[in-house]
Amino acid sequence: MTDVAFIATKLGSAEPEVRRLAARSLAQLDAEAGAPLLAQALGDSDWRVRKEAVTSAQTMRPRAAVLVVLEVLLDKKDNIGLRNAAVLALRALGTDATQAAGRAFDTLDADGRKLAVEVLVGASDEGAVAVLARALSDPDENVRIAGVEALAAVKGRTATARDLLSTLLANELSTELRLACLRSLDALSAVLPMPLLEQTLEEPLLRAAAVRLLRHVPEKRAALFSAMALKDPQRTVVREALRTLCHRIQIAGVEELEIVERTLAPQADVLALLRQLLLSSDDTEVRSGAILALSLARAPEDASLFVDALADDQIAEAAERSLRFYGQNDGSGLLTATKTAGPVARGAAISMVPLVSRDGDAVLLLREALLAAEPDVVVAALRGLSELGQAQDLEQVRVLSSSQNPSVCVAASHTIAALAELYPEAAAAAWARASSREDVDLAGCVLAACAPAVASGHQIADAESRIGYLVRAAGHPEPRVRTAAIEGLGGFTGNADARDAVTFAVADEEPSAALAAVRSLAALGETETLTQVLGRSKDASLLGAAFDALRHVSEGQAEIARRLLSERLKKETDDTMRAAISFTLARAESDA
Amino acid sequence: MSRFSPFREELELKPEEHELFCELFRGIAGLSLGPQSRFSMERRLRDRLVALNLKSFSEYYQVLRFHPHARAEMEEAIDAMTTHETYFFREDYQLRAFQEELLPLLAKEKKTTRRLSFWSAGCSTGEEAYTIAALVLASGLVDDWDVRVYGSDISKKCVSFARRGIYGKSSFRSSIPVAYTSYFDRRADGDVEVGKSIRALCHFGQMNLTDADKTSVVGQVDAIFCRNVLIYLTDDARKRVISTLYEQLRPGGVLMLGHSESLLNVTTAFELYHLKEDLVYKRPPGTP
Repeated sequence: MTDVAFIATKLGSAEPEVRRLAARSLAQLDAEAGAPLLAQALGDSDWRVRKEAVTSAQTMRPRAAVLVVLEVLLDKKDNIGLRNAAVLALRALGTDATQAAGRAFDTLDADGRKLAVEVLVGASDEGAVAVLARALSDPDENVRIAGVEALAAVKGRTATARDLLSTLLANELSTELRLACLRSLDALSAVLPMPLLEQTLEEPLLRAAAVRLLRHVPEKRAALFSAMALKDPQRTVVREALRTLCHRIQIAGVEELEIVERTLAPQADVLALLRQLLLSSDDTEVRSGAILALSLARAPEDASLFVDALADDQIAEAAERSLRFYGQNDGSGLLTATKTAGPVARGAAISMVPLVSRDGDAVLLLREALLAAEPDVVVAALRGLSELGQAQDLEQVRVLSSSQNPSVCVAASHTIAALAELYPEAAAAAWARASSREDVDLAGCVLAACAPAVASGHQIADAESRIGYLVRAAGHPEPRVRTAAIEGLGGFTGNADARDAVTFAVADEEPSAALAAVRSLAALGETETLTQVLGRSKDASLLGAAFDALRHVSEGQAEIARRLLSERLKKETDDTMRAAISFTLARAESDA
Repeated sequence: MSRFSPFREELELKPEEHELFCELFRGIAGLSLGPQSRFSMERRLRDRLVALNLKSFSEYYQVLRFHPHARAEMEEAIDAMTTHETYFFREDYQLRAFQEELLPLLAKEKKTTRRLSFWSAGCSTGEEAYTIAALVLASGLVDDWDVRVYGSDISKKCVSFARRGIYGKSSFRSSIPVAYTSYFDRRADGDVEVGKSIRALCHFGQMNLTDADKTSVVGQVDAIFCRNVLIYLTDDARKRVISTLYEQLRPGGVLMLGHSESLLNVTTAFELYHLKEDLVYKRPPGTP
């Protein structure tokens, strides 16, 4: 029995799985001999057999024979499954199917033409776009709509597709077709002229789709129309307007925000609807748009809504932005709201305080929050105080720097450092007091902020004490403190303790501290150690830093360093280090 | 994939993958890992695969070899593969010998410079380094001397932990000997914090003992504690480490190994030095 006869027998089986396997075997047949069987399989009553035949059609050769049979099948009006399978098979053949689809479009009835258009969904060639353009002026509306939808999926020729659809939108009378145009234009991220959009916004059935397209329009007037759409009686339009506002507000300038603000402010019923959508919608974009719009309306009673929304992961980002908008006008309202919020929201809200209010009330609120039981709240307050705090806060923050909660402890250390930068004199005095009572936490953090100044300053009278203190601080658990102490030790040339501590710090697990050690070694004139680092280190950044440090010591050291690295390059087997050495040498050459 | 993904258990380390990892860890850290280590390796590295959302150990091997962040990930892998178990006042007979016999000897030798330095090589989470500092302070032999205790470990996490100096119950197999309680502070949560006096003597750094690139920063020290480290290393790595320790020990300085470790078949460069309760190795005085 020939293959064709064997497969034909199997395709006639009553068992769908046997037929499916037979359809798979079609791929091995010559297309001319197997064409009738391909047609039979594509028209099978079982969808799995049809799907298998679609796949086989892609492999059968010669392809011209496959195209002929598929083109004929588009006209088989009695079997819908067969026609759909033929469309899928043709679409899978890509640009090879364009001519067949074009011929079918020119010769078949309306249903056949619609199928020919569907073959071209996702096409990318010029011929396909030309067929779709013809479809836009087809006498049958279904064919025209199919053409509009197919153009939305065109690949690579989107500009042509946008032009065709914009022209059709401007000239077409059918509402259904214009709606399809708007949706396809949105899929193509088309930027439509405002007059054309305004015209479509007039029509209730088109309004939601038109509002959606407003998100792509750069003119500020688009914001006005988006805000006005929030007053529309249709919920669909309101939801789309919120999604559009959500998009626009991400990039909006002040002027545009003011437009939205002016449009929304007096509309109590609109604001009520927005609150309802914020709390009940399933759509994150709608909720985000609602909270942003509410923040621009600036109703005092909404402050707690914004604060509470910070605890909602889905809209937390929009809530944060809302708080910034809202807080610009009503910082005190926001501050009040932070006091009554839940723990998560309260922490998040307090972290926003410096962004919306910097007055005395804000500082008082932050100080009060330092006493909270929830670590999130305390950490947020500490961060706030690092910006708004005053010299007097150093002491209270110091207490928290020995907290058993690691987050609080680290945040307190950072805040002390930040306050030390803001109030260097108060910090220096605190440092002197802390040093005398061996308070490494406070002194170390202050040191991190102003190490060079303190180390070379006059807070501790004798150099030995200063070195002793810095050596101890070089072992502090907080990397910034160690880094600062190591930098400070670089100022004590000729001192063995300073040299030993700095040398050992090259092994610090924190890159910043190890790099500081390399810099300090250069400052101390420890060129031998630097040369060792250069010759042995397997850390690319340390190697680069040691090289730079030696170059700055003297021209002679620079030459030694270059020679050493060149020699190491010849022997180095590690690819990463070879690359680092080559780069370092090339950089030096380029500098020279 | 979440940490608690049901798929975690499906990650299996195949024998051929295990060999690749053994070779890799041998080259990087000198770890001696035999065929019996396959299941423990699978268990120890599995979390890394989950954290990186990898589907097989082969993928993880590729990450360790070729990923731009391979170096950082290698630290995580080595951290997972190395044993961090230690505790305060471990192997007390040796510590007693150090305090009662070696320390007086070293103090006598260094009475002119009044400067002593010790190195806890492979210090894990720092208990040994702090123990040495406590022993030195409590001896009363070197009051007002310049004393340094360097602690180093290959694991970044261990070094960070050591710097914090706060320990739970598992770091103290028995209660702190009365003579040393003043060097530790009991915290409200039950943990113990290393006191300021011994903390001030200790300095920690991250080092791979098989690499001579960083060990030189320790400088020459008077005594080295390298206990229960060599047992995890290959013969070749052990020789390299001992050579490094020899270089970093001043002539006349002593090396203390774990009770099950020795330098037999490793080197003859050291002299055996007999103490009442222990044997230690000494770099011969006058050696260059």
